[in-house]
Amino acid sequence: MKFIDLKDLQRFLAKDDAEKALSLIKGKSKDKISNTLFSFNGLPRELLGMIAVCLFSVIELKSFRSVCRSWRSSAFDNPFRSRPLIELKLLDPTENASQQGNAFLSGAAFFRVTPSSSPNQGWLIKSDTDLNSGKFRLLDHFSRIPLKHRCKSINLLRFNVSEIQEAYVVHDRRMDEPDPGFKRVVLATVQGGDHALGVGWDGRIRFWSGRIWTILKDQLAEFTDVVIHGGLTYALASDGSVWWISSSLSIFKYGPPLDESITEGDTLDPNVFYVCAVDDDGNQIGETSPKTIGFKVYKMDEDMGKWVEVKSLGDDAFVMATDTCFSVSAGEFHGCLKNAIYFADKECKIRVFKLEDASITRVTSTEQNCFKMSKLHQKNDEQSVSALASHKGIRRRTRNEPALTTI
Amino acid sequence: MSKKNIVLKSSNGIIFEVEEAVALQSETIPYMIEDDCANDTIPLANVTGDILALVIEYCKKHVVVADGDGGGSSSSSQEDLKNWDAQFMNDLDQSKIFNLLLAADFLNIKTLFDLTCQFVADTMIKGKSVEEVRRTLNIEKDYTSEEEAKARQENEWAFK
Repeated sequence: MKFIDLKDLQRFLAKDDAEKALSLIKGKSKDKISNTLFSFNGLPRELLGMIAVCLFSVIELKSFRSVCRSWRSSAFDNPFRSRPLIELKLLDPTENASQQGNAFLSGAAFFRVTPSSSPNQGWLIKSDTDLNSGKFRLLDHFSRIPLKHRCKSINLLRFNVSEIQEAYVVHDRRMDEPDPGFKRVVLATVQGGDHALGVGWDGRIRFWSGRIWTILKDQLAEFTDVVIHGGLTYALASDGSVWWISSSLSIFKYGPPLDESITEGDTLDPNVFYVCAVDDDGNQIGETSPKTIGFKVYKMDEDMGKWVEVKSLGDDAFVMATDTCFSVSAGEFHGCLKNAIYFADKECKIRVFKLEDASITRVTSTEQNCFKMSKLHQKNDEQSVSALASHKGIRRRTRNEPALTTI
Repeated sequence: MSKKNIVLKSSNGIIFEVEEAVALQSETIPYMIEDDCANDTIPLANVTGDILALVIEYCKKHVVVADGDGGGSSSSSQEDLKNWDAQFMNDLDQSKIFNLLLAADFLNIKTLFDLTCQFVADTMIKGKSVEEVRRTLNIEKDYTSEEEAKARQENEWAFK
């Protein structure tokens, strides 16, 4: 190895033993430590370890460790925290009764899965297990019900798996289903830590203080959704205005409401016509209604200071699950339509709304779509059978499975 | 305090004269100055001129911002600095990044070191398959078949 032992050097320097340090440097300088020496597997272990710490999740750490021997030996600790499973003692936000120890915050995430051999296009899967466990549990993308599937495992050497969106629900152990009191829950960084923050069906934002659900003070609007964007917490009010929730849990109005004339002119019935609000970065804030007949998408025009209707999502598609909403670049997924909104209807069937012609069609189980991994790559890989997560496979609810949230 | 300049000499003999505040972002350099070990010129025998130039460019940018606005760093200047950092890293090729990482570690410039590590993780490793990482970073697979089997097993994620 032509590298200076940096540990030694630092030790000498720390001891003020500059002479030795210099001799170390000078002695090695003949070895042309320069651009000629260039291979990332030659990096000192400590440096490789520092790079490993910058990775996003244990999935990436596993592939990091699989690259070569020196990489493997440089990163053996798992620096990632487990996906939070926060115990919540009080259950029903509307009744502060003494129901203890039955609720917890359950985290799931959407992942993009692509075959390593053709990483440009992939599928979406959703799993609610702690990544550190080295296991996935496939969930229905929209309802969060565990999916039936035939495959046993997925090999990360054959498939690239990257997390794209987290989604939380408050779970009730006794009812085996998400707490019906909440419309949307997020894990927000407030008061110096990660805390559950949710919007109830009564339009109030509550925060889990560690003992009880506390209604945030000074809520001047009725809220419908809460999202984390760029590390900050925003809430959407029913009039379309966006509010910012500070880390000290104060609420400030951030954006103007939706223009009244737009809402009334186009909305036949608030229950059947959904207004999908979008923030300035194209991230959508919203919810679905039981009988969705269409969507309207608005984007904040910061210069004009108002919501402006968007007629096209460009190359993007929105995925509207019950627990989160996010946009993807449609081209990165198999069979994903651009300029479209994917959502689930009451029977939990996937539907797609095309902005182009405002049509809604059902995504049939036979057609290729990004929510269903195909067996396409099975033949290439005897060890890692590709996942086959099909919406046909939704099981009937059994005692241990969370029920479908019907909204 | 009067402005003092420090002379740094790269491994290939290129001389850089920088303000003390710029150089002192390195925690290694003060040791060398204190010991007066090099008659005003500090030889950095394992940093080449082109890499040292980059390090100095980074340190100059970061010292200016720390001095400006009466010592405070407003959120907009923080934002500008972040953008500058991103652009700075983006303009570098792999070999420069590699050597910059070593230089930042040797000179003990924490922010530059963290920036480089994060950049390597984000752009060269994240979302890439093991094969891709090996290919892009020019790394040979040096596993024995046993070790390979172990890695394979470790990457086998069960569906529960």
